[in-house]
Amino acid sequence: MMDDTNSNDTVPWRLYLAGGFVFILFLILVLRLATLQLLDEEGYKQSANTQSRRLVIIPAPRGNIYDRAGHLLVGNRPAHNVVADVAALQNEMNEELTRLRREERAARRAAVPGENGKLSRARDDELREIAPVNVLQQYLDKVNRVIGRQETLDAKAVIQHLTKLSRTRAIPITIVRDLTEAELARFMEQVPVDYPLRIASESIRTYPYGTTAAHVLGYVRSDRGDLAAMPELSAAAPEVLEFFALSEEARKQHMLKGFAGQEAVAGVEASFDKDILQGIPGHQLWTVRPNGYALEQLTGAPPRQGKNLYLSLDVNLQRTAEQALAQRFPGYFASVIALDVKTGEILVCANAPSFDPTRIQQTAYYKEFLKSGSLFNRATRIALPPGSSFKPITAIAALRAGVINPDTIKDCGAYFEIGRRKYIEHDRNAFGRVNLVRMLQVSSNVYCYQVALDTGIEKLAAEARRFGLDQPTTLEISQAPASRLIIPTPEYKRKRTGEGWALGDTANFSIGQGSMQTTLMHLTSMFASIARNETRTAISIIHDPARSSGRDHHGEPIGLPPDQYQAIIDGLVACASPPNGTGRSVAGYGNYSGIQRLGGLSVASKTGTAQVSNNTANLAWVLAFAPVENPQIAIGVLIEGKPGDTNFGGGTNAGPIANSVLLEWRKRYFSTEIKAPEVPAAVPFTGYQPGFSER
Amino acid sequence: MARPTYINPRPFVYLAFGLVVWWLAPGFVRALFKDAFYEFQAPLVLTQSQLQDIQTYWAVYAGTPKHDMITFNRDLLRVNANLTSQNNQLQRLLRENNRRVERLLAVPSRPEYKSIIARVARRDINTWWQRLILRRGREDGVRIGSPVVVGTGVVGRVAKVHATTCEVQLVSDPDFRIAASVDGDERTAIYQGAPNVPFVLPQGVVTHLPSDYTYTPGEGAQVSVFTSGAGGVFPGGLLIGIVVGELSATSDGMFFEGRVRLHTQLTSLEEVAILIPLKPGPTLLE
Repeated sequence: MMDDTNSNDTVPWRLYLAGGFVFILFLILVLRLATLQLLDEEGYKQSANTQSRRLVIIPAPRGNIYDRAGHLLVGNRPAHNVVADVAALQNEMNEELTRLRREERAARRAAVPGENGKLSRARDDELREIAPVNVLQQYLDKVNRVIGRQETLDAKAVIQHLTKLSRTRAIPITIVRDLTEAELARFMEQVPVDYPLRIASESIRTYPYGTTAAHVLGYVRSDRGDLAAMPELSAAAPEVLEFFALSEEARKQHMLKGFAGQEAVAGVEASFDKDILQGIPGHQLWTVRPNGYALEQLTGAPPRQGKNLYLSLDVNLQRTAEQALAQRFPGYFASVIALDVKTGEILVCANAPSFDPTRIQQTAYYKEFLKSGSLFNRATRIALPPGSSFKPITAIAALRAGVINPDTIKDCGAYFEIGRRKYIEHDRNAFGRVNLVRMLQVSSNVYCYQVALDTGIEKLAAEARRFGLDQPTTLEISQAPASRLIIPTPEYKRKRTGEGWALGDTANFSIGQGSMQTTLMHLTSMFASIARNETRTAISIIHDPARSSGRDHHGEPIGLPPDQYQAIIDGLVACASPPNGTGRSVAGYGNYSGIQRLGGLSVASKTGTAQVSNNTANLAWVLAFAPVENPQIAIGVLIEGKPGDTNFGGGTNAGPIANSVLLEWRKRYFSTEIKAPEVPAAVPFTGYQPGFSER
Repeated sequence: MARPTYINPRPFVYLAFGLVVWWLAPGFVRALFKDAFYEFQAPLVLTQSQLQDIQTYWAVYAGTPKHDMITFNRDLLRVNANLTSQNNQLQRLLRENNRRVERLLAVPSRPEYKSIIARVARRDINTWWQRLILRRGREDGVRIGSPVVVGTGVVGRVAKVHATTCEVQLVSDPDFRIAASVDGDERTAIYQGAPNVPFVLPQGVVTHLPSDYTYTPGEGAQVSVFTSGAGGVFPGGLLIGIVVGELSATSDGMFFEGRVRLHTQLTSLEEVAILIPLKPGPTLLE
């Protein structure tokens, strides 16, 4: 009995120990459960949700782009693709896999009697890849019969799409791309609605005017379903927004695009991409099976097309300019800009050679244009020496400095000597006695050398800066950076070459040569500003009807007395007049093929010929505005000569292009009923007086 | 005191058992049973329809004096002879013109059809609006997918063919989809039946109409939806219905779409024509 009692006494402490141990374990469990359930609940819930869900983003069709009159420049067309609903084909794929295994085993047993026919793991994995390809190929064969195509399945793409753990398993796979209208009709009429194949339409950019304005419009390319190019959906449901809070890695696992979107690369497409053209993508939130196939759509919203954009371009003028460039200068870099003088809106921004935006995704085509430099909007991005087209600025600077007045006469020989160096006239025949109007008419270099030395580099450079020739403009699309726009000064030269400024540099600068460089857009803008007797023109590629009565260009008046301003205008009119005006071809005068008189439309112009490539090639510039009495359009043309083209000249080569654009403008916009001239009433316009008066 | 009478539960047990067996049976067994049952039931449907015809005939016959019938008959024969002659002449002219225009435009040849007139035996009560049963079947050469028309309007297409009857999937069925074109635009749009709303005339939707569709009908005029003929099953130019309200752009801006009110002949069908293609093309509808 004692023993029994003793043994009864000894049991409890072990029991308590064991009980205590179990209790502690249990406590740990409870605490852990409490942590999971109460503290970490949110995180786990989210993780569980996203584990079994996929967020599919449907890129939105981009907004349309129109010209100022509402002509469609860039639109969209639907590309109808046949997609196979892989989730609905799972059973068929499994049956096919079973069939393949059975056949293979039977074949092995037949080949080697006594063999059990068991498949190796590697072979079984291969069959797993073959089965879905076979099933989809059977469906593709049926579609081929209906639509009359001979498509074959891209087996690699199918295997990639359906790879285990691949997020793309959750979305249908495309088996036929871009059906024609007739094929779509046959598919829709002959394939049952509840078939595992259906049509998914994506939107593709179309260009009704082909290559017209390609440099301005820019282009898009497929983003290949890239998640980085996926905009956030700000207005979606909270369970959708959860996905955007995921880590980069988790996003890659649980988010995908329904099909590749279009990524804006250049031009208007890129500049007005976000918030305007891009639109709001749609989305579909799906639950997926553990094997990754889609199970059920939980929520979703269709995509919303981007907003439409109305550009300031006039497609008719644009085409005229491009056709003129292509006909006269095939294979040359050449550009035209035309501005609405009052509003600063761009009417034409043409570059040759132009490219086909629908082909730019082809690597070889893209590289060819990139390498040659013709992929850029050269009119706004390439800065070059302006040559004599800069001379109006030299004249304004000299007039404002009081160095000359309109009647000042300079004796202009065949060259002008500074130190021991001769600075030559562009014409072998000297111009003799030259005043301001004649300087602008015949573009006398020697006149400019003389007045520039009297004016001084500081005042000349300041005048060029006042017209904004070294600053990016208000243009909304890509343009030359400030670092490429150069107005040389003594400091600039010292920094760049370590040498001091010479008087010869001032002389070169006065005729737009040397290291001065700016773009065609800047020079055209300068000419539009001169036409309005102001220093700046606020350029825009967007059409705003509210601007039709004019706008604040954020410049200042040129600040010349009316007679001096009038002398500049008279000089520019003389430049566009026969018989000696260097820019007479603009107005249709001279022995140039294909030009025509402008029938009552008065024009002012300035030509320029600059030497580049160590004087082996010329740049031909021409600037013009019209009508002189009430300026409405300003045009700039630049033809870039190739090495050896030393005979290129502004009046000879660029003038006829400006003439073509002005003819078209006259046809469309010019009315002979013109309002009273805008020049100050105190100095009525007197027209050009040939020759000059001595005083 | 009368003993309480209990209902014999055995039939209910059998019924429940039968339902469970039916519910558990594989799909193909059920389909087989349904088809077999249908073939047995078909003569009843036919007989019922024919009896109805005889009843209508005798009702008219009994209510009309005999000499009136003779006069009507003579007049009708004259009108008929006249119209047949005109019809033949016009058809010949039309065929010649069609051939000439098609040659000029190099249009690919369109499918040609032989038409069979079929009386409506009844509307299938299971799917009230969506199916019709016609008194023509496999023995008459009817094929699955054959278009069914009335006058110049679309009725639907043959969905099932039995020995002496066939079932027609109506144009209002949400599973009915064909290539269409809309007034003022030659390009392909898609018509599809829409889910049915009780006590409302059947409707459909027209989708995939290009987004640059700009046709505006005149004052009070309506936009009609026709078969386009490009789908390879239905001939072109058959009326499907009228667009209700306005065509509106889809939110993605890619297409226009709108609701379609189906043509009114659909509500009182007695006789329809089944178009049997002379050279049947490929179709996945079978």
